[in-house]
Amino acid sequence: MFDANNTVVLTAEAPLDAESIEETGTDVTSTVQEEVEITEALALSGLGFGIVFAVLVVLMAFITVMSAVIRGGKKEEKPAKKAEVKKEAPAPVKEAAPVSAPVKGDADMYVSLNGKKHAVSVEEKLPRFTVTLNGKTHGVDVESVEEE
Amino acid sequence: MNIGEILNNLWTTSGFAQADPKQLIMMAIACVLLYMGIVKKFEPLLLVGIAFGMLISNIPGSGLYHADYWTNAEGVNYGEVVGHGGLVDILYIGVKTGLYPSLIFMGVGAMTDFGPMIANAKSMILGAAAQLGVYLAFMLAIILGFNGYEAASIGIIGGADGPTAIWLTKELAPHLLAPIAVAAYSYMALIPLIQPPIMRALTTKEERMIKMDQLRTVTKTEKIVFPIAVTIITCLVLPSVASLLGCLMLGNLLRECGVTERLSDVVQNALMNIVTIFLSISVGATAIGENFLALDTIKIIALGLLAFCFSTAGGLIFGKIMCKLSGGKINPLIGSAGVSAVPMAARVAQMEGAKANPSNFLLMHAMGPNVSGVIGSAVAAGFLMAVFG
Repeated sequence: MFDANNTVVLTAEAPLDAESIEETGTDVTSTVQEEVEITEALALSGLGFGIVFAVLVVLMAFITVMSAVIRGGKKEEKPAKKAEVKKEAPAPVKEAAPVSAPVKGDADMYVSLNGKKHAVSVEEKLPRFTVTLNGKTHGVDVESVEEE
Repeated sequence: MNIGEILNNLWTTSGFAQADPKQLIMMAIACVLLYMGIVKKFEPLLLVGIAFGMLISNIPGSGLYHADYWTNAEGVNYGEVVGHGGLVDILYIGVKTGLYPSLIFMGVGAMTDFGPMIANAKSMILGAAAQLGVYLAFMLAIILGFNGYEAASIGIIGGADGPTAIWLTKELAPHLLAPIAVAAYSYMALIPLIQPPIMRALTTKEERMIKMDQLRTVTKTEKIVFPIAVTIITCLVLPSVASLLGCLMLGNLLRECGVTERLSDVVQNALMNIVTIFLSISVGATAIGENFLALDTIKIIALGLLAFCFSTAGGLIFGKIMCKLSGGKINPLIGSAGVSAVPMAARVAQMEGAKANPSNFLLMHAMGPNVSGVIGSAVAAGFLMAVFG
C-alpha cells in the first residue's frame, strides 16, 4: 500500500509487486512504520543491544588475536621507566612511553626526580598523561598519587 | 522622503514589533544556558555556542535561520538555502549533511589513545554494556508516546556522545535536535553528580577497593592496525555508521601512524575548534519556540537523565559480573566509565576508587571502557540509523 508520500509501506496485506511500483513511477522505498508497538520496541532494543555486544566482542577477539600475533613469542615488554610518585622512591624520569591518563589541569602532583622532590603542574591533553617540569614535557606512568 | 514612513518602516521591521512571547522566552533560556556554560562551566566549548545560536535565531526578524527550509517534506532545496538563507542556514548545511559530527569524531579519534583498551581488550565488554541506557530510554520513549524516529534520537542520549546524538537526530528527528543536544551536553557535564550515587548503590566497599594489575605496554604496530581493523569490521556489519566510525578511526590513525603529525595536529586542534563553533551555533539555532517550548522537551530532559543512569548501571552490573568471573581482579567501578563521556567518566571512576582505597589508581583501567564506549555508542547509533534511517 502507499502512504501519503507515495512511499510503499510494507505490510502483511500489501506485498511489494512490480505493478504497484509502475503505477506511481516512484522509486520503491521500504519504510518501517513510524509508530512502533511496545513489543516491537522491546524486540528492537534487544536486537540492538545484542548487535552492539556482538560487534564489540568480535573486536575484542580480534584485538586479542592481533596482539598475540604482533607481540608473538616476545617477552612481555616491561613498562618504560617512569617517574614514581612516591616519597621514598626517587627515580629518573626518562623519555618514558607516554601512557594515556588525563588528569585535571588543576591537580598538583609531587614527582621524585633524580632524588629531588618537585611540585609539578599537570597538563591535561586528552588523554595523554604528560608532566611539564622546568619547561620540558615528559610522558609518565603514575602508579600512585600521594599529596604532601 | 517621508520621515514618518521611514520611522514607521523602521519600527515595523524592528524586533520589538515582530516579537512574540515564545521568542522572548527562548532568549531568556539562552541566557540561562550561557550562564551555565560560562559561570558554571558546563561543557562550555559546546554549550556557549549552542546557547548563543539559540539566542540569535530567536531574535525576532533576524532571519538567520529558517526552519521551514529544513523540514520540507519534499526534501531540502539547497538552492533556496544558499540563495535566500541566513547565516545560520548556511552553517546548518554541515549539520544536515552529517559533515560536522563526522569531522568532530575525526578530532576525537586524533585525541584518543586506545592503548588502555588494547592492553585490556575485555574492557570493550563494559563499553558495550554501557549502551544499555540507549535502548531502555528508547523503550521508555515509545511508552511515553514518541514515535520510532523520535524515540531512537532520544535513546541515543544514553550513549553520552554529542556528535553521535547530533548525527542520528538530524536524520531521524531534526525538530528535536536542540533539546536533545542541550540535554546530552548538559548531562555529560553533570556526570560527576549523576554517576557516584549509582556507583555506590550498585557496588560494595570491598569491590570498590579492588586494585587492578598494571596494564601492559601496547606496541606501535598494535595501535596502527587497530583503527584499520575496527573500520573494516564495524563498517562491514553496519555500513550506516561508516561516516562516524570511519572518521573516528581516521583521526586515530593520523595520530598513531607517526608520519602525519601535522595533519593530526590540525585535526585535533584547528579543525575541531572550527567545526565545534559551526556545529554549536547551528544546533542551538534550531531551538525555536514552537519546537522547544513543548511538553516533549521536558520528557526528553527526563528521559535523557534516565538514559545516563541506565547506561551507568549497565556498565556497573557487567563490571560486577566480570569481577566475579575474574576472581576479584577487576574493579566494577571501571564499568561506569563505559559511558563515553571521555575522559570525565573515567575520572569519576578514579575518584570513587580513590575514596574507597586512597592507593587505588583506576584512571588508566577506566580509560579502556571509556574509549570503547565511544565505539559502542557509534555502533548503537548505526543500528538505529539502519532500522529507522
